[in-house]
Amino acid sequence: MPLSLEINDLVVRGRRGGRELVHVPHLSIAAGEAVGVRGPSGAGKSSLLFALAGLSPFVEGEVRWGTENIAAMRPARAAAFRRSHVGMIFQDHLLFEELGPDANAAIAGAFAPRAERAARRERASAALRRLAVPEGARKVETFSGGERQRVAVARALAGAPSILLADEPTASLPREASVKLTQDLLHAARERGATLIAVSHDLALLDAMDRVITIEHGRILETVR
Amino acid sequence: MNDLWLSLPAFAQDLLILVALLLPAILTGAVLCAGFAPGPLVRAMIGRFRWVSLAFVLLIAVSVGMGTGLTSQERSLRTGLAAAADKFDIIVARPGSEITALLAAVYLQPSDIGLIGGEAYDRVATHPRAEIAAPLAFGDSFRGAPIVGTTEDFALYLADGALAEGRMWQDVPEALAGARSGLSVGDIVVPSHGHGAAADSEAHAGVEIVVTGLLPPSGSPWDTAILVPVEQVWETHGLVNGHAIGETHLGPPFDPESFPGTPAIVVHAADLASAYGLRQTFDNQDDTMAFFPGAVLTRLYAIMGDVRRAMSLMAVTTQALVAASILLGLFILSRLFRRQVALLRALGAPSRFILAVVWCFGAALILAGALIGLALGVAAAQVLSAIVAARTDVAMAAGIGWPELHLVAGFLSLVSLVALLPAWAVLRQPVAASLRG
Repeated sequence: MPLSLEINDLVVRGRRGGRELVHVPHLSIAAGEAVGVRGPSGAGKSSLLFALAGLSPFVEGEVRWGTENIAAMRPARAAAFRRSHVGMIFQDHLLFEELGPDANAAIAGAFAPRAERAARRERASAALRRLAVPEGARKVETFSGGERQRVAVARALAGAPSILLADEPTASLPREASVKLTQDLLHAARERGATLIAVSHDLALLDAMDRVITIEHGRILETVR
Repeated sequence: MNDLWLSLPAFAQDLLILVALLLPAILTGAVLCAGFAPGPLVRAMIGRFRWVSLAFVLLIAVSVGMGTGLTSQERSLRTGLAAAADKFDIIVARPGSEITALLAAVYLQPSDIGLIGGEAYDRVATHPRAEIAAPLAFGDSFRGAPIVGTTEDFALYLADGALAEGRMWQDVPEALAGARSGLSVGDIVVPSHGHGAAADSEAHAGVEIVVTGLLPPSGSPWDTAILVPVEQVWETHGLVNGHAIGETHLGPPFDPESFPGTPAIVVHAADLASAYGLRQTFDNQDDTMAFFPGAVLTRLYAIMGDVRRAMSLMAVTTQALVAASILLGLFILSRLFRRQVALLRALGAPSRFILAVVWCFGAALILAGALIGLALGVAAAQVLSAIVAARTDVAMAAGIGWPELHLVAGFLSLVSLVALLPAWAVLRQPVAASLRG
């Protein structure tokens, strides 16, 4: 059954638990919803995204997904949660340049249980085909920015995630590639009923979302549908 | 347990030591990598940082090469010197320095030692346990090759009973040439007095010696020597030739009254007990000392032990410094690929997998460096051996032995354990900050 994300009294702090970066009293994101997050640089958008992924060490409050509280998970449990339920996409792709698209998309298979590796490879391959990424032995360092970001999306989809978290996914892409990637991302998320949360300054991407949240100084200022 | 260990053949002991030394590295790798497939990622990271990786591998290779080269060369020198002395059961000489007598008699190094008189020689030669008691006579050379006077029995003993070519000398002006002397049967040798640059080629003008046979190679300085009847050396130097007037035969028995003296007698005994008996009989006498060349070499190594220990300490210090450099370098490298590591953690990679990737990266460089270093060490030892062999005429075969394999295995395990530290440090880097670059 699809699960929603319920955020209550979430506080994300900076280095050594000092400065408060984000404070969200309450936020509810329905299962399968596509949410855009916007705001000026340093507003806390990415910090919120990393907290939702269980990657921030200094968090208080709740990020509830079903019976699980992501904010309270120990690092090992949070890593297992990401393996099973979360797909992440980053602004500058973060690919292994020396590997081909197939190996990059199926990279999580390297640490997945042996029995799951074949299925991961198949899903990665299917995602690459759906995103029209040229498969084969060519290293991704020879790819264009758009192709590289599509490989990163395929990598996120290969884990069959319930939650897709994207940090400025179109920021480094030209206009045409940006539009294509937005369509692909939304289509992939909707196809499998995944929740999509995308931090972006890209108005076209934000327009395509079900809802847009504006953050400033770590606080949610408004929510637009 | 000790008895069981001692009952094992040397090969099995060395193999077990090797496995024990490698075990920490193998176990670390097995524990870290169990259930994971870090290979493609490690290859990708090595490819990404190929020049830094290459510099690392070369640093390790040079360090390992120096260590293995030194130990291999030192062992081949010891083995070569011991093999060269193999045919020399006992040396009897005037009381004095055994090392000087050893260098003169076995390694044919020009030395200034006293002579054994005819009476003492006769006691040795007529001892019932002495199968061969050959006087040696030095002093001349031909184109840098030492001319050594001795007896037919000893020359044949050196040749294992059969010449490589030609026949045994039958007259005073005839000679057998060593396998690496560059001479052929029928060549004429005109002796110079002395050795090296100081040799006087005019001193024995008119003396001509014909090469009648060639000795097989022995891997000792005797391969470049020219062997002549001992009477030839004595006569050339204007001495009595060891035989009473009217005696015309070559070699023993010699007449004690007509014996001009010899710097050393090489004695061959029928068996070990006889050898010990002979040494005991002729050692610590007023006019003779007797020693086993092997025992003197052992004492020589013991004297040089301090130097060897200093060299070993230097080698270990070098390895420790390299290990520290590797540790430092891996810390720097771990900073270089912190974004890749952060990405893996964002994708949900377990900590053990991250450790496995970073450790395998370091271990792959260390292993490559160690293997290249092993080859470099052997090559260096072979070059050094060739140089030493050319200067001493002692055959040396430098190669990989158990000590080198043990050294490299120990180095591998130590450094691969050290490589866990930067791998662990990578895990402590904040993921979010690393992802943002």
